[in-house]
Amino acid sequence: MPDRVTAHEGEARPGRRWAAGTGVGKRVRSRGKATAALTLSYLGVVVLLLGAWWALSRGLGLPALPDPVASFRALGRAWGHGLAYHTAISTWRVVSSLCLAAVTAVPAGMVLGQARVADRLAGPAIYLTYPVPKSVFLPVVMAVLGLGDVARIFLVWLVVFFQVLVGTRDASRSLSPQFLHSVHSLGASARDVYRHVVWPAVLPAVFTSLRVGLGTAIAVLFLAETWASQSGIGYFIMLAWTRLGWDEVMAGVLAMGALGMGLYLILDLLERVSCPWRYV
Amino acid sequence: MIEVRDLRVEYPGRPPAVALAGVSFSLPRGTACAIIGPSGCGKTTLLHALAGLVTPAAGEVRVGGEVVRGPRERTAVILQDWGLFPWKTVWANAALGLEIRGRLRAGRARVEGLLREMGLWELRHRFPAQLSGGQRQRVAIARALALEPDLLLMDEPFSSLDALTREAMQELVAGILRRGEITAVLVTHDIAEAAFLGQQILVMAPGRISWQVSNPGAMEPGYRATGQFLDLCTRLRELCRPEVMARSA
Ligand SMILES: Nc1ncnc2c1ncn2[C@@H]1O[C@H](COP(=O)(O)OP(=O)(O)O)[C@@H](O)[C@H]1O
Ligand SMILES: [Mg+2]
Repeated sequence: MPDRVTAHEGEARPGRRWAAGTGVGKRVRSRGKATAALTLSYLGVVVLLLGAWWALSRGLGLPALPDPVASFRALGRAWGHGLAYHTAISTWRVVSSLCLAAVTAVPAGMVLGQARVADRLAGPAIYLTYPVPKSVFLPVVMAVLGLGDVARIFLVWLVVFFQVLVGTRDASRSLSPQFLHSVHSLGASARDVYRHVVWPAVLPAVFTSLRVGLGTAIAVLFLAETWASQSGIGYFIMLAWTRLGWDEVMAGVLAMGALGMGLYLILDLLERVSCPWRYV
Repeated sequence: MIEVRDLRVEYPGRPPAVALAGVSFSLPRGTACAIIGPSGCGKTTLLHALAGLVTPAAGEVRVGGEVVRGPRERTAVILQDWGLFPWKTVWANAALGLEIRGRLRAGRARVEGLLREMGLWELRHRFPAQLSGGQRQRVAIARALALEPDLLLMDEPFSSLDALTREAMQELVAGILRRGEITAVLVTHDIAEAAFLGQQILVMAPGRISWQVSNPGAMEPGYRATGQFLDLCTRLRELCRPEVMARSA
């Protein structure tokens, strides 16, 4: 197939198709090798981290830092006794905040990046409120929205919303005018422009800001779950702490870490599926 | 087919940048016209005005007898460098014009036929990043032709190609334009390209047209090897010299 495909240039440059053919073969082979090397390096990092943890715990000899074996054992025990439930609750809160943030911030960011008037109106407000740490509003949010899920989800949404909004707006704003000319010359309506150009152009930036937002979201959620709360991993950790159940604390930390890593992997996977042109 | 009268285009700013100051020319149906001139003299702006992508500050542009006020159904545009969307496959890029105009269902077979004709059918699932420069340019041409245009506007379509691929693409375009069904305007800064493809050649000085040269032998097979072609190139090169441009004012 490749020789027919490049036939046009092939006429002018004989030998090119062979060069192209070998190039493709080499890339496939080295991609397999690269995956193996990557897997190995990930495994290496995990072993290294566990080793460091173990050494630190042994070296300090403090009850507050149990070694990995004790911690994973505690995780196994706690999982069946409530931790699974708390993890599910925290997962629900983070995932719904991130989804809400994406659904609200992405359209707003796309429009702000494209419509100069809207940007000029909203720009100063975003500029001034972006650096304000939103988590300090926890008491106010709880006073207004109550002590349930709504307040906690709202607080996390508030933090991630701004990150995704700014990331999306900047990507939308820096879109090359050539793309817009190109789509306009095809007779595109405003809807077509957003659908065929702005949306796919900002998508990678949306994933980047969601990944950054995920880290902040979990930190804010932890805060929100340690205060006036009956559920969630944050609550579980605080409860274990008051009982000085250090290995349970570590079990909660492990659950929180797994939640973050799992969502990070899912975001990665979603990006690969929805932005295939970046992975060719 | 094209009538441009006293066209003036300004870009906003303080003071506004005058890109075109009083451009007039006309072009009969079925003619291939090349526009050459130094960088920054307003070639792209003139093409955008013909495409309805910029609004004139004064004067008017008529295509097919009607004043151009926005993108026109049967005008196809091939832009400098970025005409293709990196996030769309070859097929989706080529079909985009028809999709936007809501004619994809009827035009599916036409897109397929064009992709086959251009040797792109086997590559239809690839993204632009996976294509050579010549292949990308052929996708842009296929997308333009899918619209069944009567006016084809091209802005330096071959400037990023290597010399051999460029000649192959010029032959391809000449083969399409020779049939005379499509009026074409090709912006280029390559004198030989203008001399080969332009039946009418407009030489631009900053903001205006300084010369109009007719070139009846354009696009004939073997034209590049004739003395007439080489003479024309010499003459065009002379007309593009700054002193000569200044004299035409
Ligand atoms: N978007 C723009 N804003 C302001 N000035 C512009 C813009 N586009 C082009 N110009 C100016 O208009 C003039 C003509 O530009 P252009 O049509 O792109 O020239 P060419 O295609 O011949 O190189 C140049 O002086 C350029 O600086
Ligand atoms: Mg230009």
